[in-house]
Amino acid sequence: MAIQTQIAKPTIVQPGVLAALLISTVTVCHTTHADEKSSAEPPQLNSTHLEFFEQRIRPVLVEHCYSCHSADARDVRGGLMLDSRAAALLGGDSGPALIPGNPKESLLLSAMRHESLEMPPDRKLPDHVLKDFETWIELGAADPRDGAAVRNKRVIDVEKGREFWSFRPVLKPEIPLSGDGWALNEIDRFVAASATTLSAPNPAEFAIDATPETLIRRLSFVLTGLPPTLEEQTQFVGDWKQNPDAAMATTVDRYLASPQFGEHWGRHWLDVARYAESTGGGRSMMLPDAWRFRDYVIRSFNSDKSFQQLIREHLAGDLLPASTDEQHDEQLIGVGYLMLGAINYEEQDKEQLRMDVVDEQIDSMGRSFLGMTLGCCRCHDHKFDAIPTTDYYALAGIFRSTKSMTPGNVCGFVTAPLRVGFDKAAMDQWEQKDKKLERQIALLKKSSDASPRRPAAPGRNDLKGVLVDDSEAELEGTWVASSVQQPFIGTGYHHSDSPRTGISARYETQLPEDGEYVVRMVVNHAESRSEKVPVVVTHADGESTVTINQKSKPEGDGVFAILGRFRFEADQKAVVVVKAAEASPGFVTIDAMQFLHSSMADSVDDLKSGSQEIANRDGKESKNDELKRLETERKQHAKSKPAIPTAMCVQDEKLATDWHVHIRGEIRNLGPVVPRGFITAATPVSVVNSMATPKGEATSGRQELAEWVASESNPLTARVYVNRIWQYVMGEGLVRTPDNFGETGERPDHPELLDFLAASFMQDDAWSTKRMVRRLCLSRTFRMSSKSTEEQLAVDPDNRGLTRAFRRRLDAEAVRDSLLQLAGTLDRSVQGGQTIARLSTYDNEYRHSQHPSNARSVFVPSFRNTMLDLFEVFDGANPNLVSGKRTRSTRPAQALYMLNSPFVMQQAESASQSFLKSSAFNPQNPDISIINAWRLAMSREPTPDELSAVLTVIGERPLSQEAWTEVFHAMFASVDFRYLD
Amino acid sequence: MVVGQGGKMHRRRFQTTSVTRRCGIAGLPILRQVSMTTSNCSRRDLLTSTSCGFGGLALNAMLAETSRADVTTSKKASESIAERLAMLTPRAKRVIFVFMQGGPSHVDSFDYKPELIKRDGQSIDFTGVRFGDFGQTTKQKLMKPLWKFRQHGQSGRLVSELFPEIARHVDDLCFLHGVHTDGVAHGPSTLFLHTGATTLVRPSIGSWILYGLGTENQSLPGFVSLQPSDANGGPRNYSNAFLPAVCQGTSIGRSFQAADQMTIDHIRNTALTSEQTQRRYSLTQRLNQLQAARQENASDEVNAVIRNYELAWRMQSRAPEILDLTGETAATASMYGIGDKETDEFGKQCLLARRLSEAGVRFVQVNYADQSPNPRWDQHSDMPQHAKHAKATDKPVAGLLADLKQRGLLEDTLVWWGGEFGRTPFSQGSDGRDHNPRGFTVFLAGGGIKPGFAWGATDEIGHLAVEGKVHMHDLHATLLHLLGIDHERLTFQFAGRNFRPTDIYGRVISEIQS
Repeated sequence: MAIQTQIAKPTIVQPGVLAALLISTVTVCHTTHADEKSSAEPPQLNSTHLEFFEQRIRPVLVEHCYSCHSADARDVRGGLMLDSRAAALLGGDSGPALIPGNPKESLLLSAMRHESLEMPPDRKLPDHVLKDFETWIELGAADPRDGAAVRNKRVIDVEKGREFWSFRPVLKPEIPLSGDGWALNEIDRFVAASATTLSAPNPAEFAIDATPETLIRRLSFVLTGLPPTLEEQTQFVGDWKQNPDAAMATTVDRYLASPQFGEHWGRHWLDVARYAESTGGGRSMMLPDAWRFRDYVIRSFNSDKSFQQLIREHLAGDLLPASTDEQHDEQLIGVGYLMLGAINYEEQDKEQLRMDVVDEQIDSMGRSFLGMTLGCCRCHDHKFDAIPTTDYYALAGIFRSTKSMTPGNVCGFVTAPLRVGFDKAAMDQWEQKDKKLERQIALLKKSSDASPRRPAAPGRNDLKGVLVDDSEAELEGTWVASSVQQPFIGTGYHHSDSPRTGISARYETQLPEDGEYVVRMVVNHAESRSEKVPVVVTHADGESTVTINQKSKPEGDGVFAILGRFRFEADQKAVVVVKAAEASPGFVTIDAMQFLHSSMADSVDDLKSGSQEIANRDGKESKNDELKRLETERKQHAKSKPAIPTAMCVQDEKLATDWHVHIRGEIRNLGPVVPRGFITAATPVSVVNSMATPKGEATSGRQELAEWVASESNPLTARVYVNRIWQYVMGEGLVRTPDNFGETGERPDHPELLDFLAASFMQDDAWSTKRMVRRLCLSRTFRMSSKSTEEQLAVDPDNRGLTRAFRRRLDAEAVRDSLLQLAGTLDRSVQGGQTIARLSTYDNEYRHSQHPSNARSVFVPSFRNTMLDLFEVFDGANPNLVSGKRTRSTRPAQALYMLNSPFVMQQAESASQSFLKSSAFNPQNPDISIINAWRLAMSREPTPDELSAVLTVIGERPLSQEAWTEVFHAMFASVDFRYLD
Repeated sequence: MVVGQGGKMHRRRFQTTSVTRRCGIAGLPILRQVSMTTSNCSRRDLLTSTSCGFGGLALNAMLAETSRADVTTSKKASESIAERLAMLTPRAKRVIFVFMQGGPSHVDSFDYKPELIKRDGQSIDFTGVRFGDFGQTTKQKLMKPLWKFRQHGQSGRLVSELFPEIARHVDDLCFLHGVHTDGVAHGPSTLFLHTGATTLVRPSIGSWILYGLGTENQSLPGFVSLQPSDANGGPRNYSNAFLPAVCQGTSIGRSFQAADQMTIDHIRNTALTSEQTQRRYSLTQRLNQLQAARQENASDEVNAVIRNYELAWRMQSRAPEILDLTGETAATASMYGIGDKETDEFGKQCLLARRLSEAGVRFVQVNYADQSPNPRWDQHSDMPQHAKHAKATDKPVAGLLADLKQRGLLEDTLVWWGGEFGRTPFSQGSDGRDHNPRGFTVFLAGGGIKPGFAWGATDEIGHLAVEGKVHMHDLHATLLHLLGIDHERLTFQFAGRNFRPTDIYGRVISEIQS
């Protein structure tokens, strides 16, 4: 083995010194034990101790610790410095590194022993080194290294943080007077006014209006994601010549009212909501009900649901009151938002998984609604924004009190039944028959003495021996009283709450006489229970630990599990402790504990296997056959159970709780508990007292959270949302990092315009998306040409001054939908519903090529492991992340796709086919045909050069479909097809 | 002081999987995003960085990316890539990762444990790591290796009978016996192996490398995964996540297809004659040029589209040549076991990996994988099945090593062989072994690696890594280091913070470098 030792050879110690050291160690040990007082007193720094430090401790610290834990470290880890006495005593994020005189409690030593942390990380130092450190700490950790304990812990000043632009209250600014003669609405006046403050040309140098041909294409794509038809183009150009403003208004209204608006704008929101139909992660499970959320989003945009309401439904739809079944379902589907994250349900450390889900929810909510990168605060205070870790865990308390998963090796996700579309009559009928079968079976079982599936527990007074009920036990930690599930003794039982940290139940009693007892415990079994619950019995012969399985029905009477036979003495206490904190995952329940003297226990043994035997002995075989038949019939019947439509959604946990800070984000490193709440810096002081905050154990607080997010006093929500609308309409946001309004994000180019829009959105537009979209589309700013002059490019290359329109690339969906529309193959019959052609457990077997669909892109199944190739190539939204802005890459894969993919080839073929049959095609005049083809695909006429380039291809074969297929293919592949002027 | 409930064995788990994230990287201020739009500046900066390794493909594509993307956008960001590149002397230029999916057993292959043989059948206390037995102690029965070990080469490394061919190359290999990782199930561990995270969405190590170094060739993608599985994270294992799209890994073939079907999507137009294809391409480019000219100030983005068509056109002729294995000599093919039933499939992958590396592909991943959530090496029962998988891969891998060496490519190519974890030294059922992420073996060879060397160790039964421990983050850090990249300085700003391939972890293992 070529393992090279990194351990410094122990420094050669002069024999005399060593002897002295050894002697002193022994002596001190003795004194420590002999005299408790002396160890509590400050250690004496005598020269022997110092020498020990210099020779045994310092070299190790220097060699193995300083690289990460000293002032010279490139990067100090864990907030811990070990290069001065004071620093070591102060410690790092996990507390003091050492407690002089107390090796047992010194984190440094347990870390070096790899008992708590593992330090150094690559190996355990040899035992003799560990022994040295133990001795050194025991001796008082003599350490001559002076130097201050510096902890560069930045403290967040929330009050100062409120000064940051996006945390300031939204105030409606005065409308500037600039822009006379140019401005069409207030937006333009803000744009014109800022032209003088930014380094942009003066208002007279704003781009002229785009041509009507350009504008109809722009409107059509921006509002519906589809190219305008020839008729729409002709109509608009005609109207524009009459009255441009009226033409714009009519067209905008028409598009806003079309169902395609919701399909296109719904897709924008689905990007932000990180929508997909599978979970992602190791085993990427399909989400068969996710489509309901997609359709809900499309519906919400088409019906112009107020954004406030959308927020409430997304965060707390399951908790909102509903007056109709439709409303109930709508809200329930809406809260599915919280379930859509990319989660690796296979993670085996379920506590880790739980906090990862909480993190995903917090982070996505933060970016979608607040433009805040809250995920940063999981491990430490936000380094840039005024968001302390405590704010994060205030939110974590809310989401931890929210249930999204069901237990399992690979966890499941929560669903709930919907009310609409559920055939109640059929279900009633089914249930009737089921109940009848159940009754018949029960009757037969009773008569044949077969034991019932879930026996009722005997009344307390019927039980022999000494009984200690859970109500009499000493309970440590949080237990929840319940009587939901039989069997139980007395008024009910208790079950553990999550987390089970530090919980246990202690049963104590004095038994009437010496002797052997059978100790039994009621097991309220269920699948959700823990499989391994350690129970410690303290008896006359010592202590025994028994493990109880609460998942399965106890043998025998189905109520009591036998812990064993133990000897007790009458003058000693009989103690049984249920160590719930140490149980395997699942709920732990506690109920009565029974102590049966062995004289009585025999009858118990009868009980154990008795009933079954009696049944057999009686030989009631015919009855058993009948029973079997009925049970089979019932199983068969179960298969015909009418489907209950379900939606993915979250639920509140039974008991809502505040949660701890996790130090450095480590799930088992718990800091103080923080009350549930919101982001402090984004909560104006003026509303703090009047605002509802999550309280009590009854609800998670999501409803309060939703109200806080949707509140007009929240400085972020409306700003972030109107900025998204602006970006989708104009091509770039006023803040160009739409998901990040924090310090590391961009600043608004037109802060007053942004505030004007945010305020108008809340106060005048009643949080209506359509009204805001309309405002923007009817501005002069929207109407400008995208052509830029040399001068504009020189002065303002980024178009910060909004002196022209942005030229933009079509999204992947618009590229595909355009191809289908031009080919005449767009399948408009699909308007929602389950569109996954083949449902399976995991998404990885799904081949889009085997299930081709010509539906609009928003309806193409969207999986995390397999994306439609066109979407992959043209930067479809990555469904694993909140994606407020598509990336826009230019890659050879795109060229290969456009040139060679069968899909594009097919669409070119179909397009030429339908073109040749249409009135747009003029067999006599190739020029007219080419012009019309151009108008179809690019919404403009070809340039003379383009025309002649195409004519050379068409040449002598103007009627040849092959020639036209070539032309359509080249048009589809050309730059202008996928760009919007 | 708060210490994890589970004590020492959880430390890694709760530390790394819990996303302890570092936002500001020492020495690298977070750049405020200053968008450059069409800026000529970013083009200039990128051009100046070509000397530092940016090849044409990355340059062209990144040019387009950085011309607009809100991700790194700025001039400074592109400069800083160059700055970071200049810092270390690279020992290798490219990587071939031979992924043994499912978790081959180290105690049956490369990690010889006499004590395990001696204690065969004995019980040990084992603290569970899986859902259901997390933190619970159970008794487990030790099971000795099913194959005999023998010393090989000058270095005298012990290799079992499972890998007789690889055994011939031990003097070129460097074994890491103390590797450990995060995650226990295949999904999380496979994702961790590739992306350094079990549950969170992070870029693949290949994407990071491409991001850091760019590509060396103009006609092929820079990061390729051969016949990858769609299971256990599937494409996420070669995904760029939030890095620029050009860093995305390209799959060549899929694990459900035969090796003969390994190709790049849409690389050829199969429906048209080459003359027809040529005509359509020419018309497209003619229109593109006219359309660019139509705009008075054509943006870089439009020009980038045009250049990408040119590039695609070159790829279209060049890539199929590289993907075509038929030009190789019979002697070369037989080195890889091509033509023999058991080794043909994987042999073809390994041979293609060499051809791609030779053509300048920065990161090639060879996958011994299938579509199952319980992949090939996953012998929870029937350990003798390992023989079948060893047989299928041994000769191809040995052939790859020999071929790289004889062509002088091994000098600057880093070969990495390994699974997502190892297997337990005790039995599962009567003749299986369970996953063991706490200690297993990986081997490296080539650029900058000490040949004929071994580093680290598991305990005496092969269960826990105890010496020379190399966490998966450390392995990533070391690979990057050998390629000339400081893993702590390779950062990308996304969603308001700087991300690193190794999160806040990772130590470069300098002891294994030649």
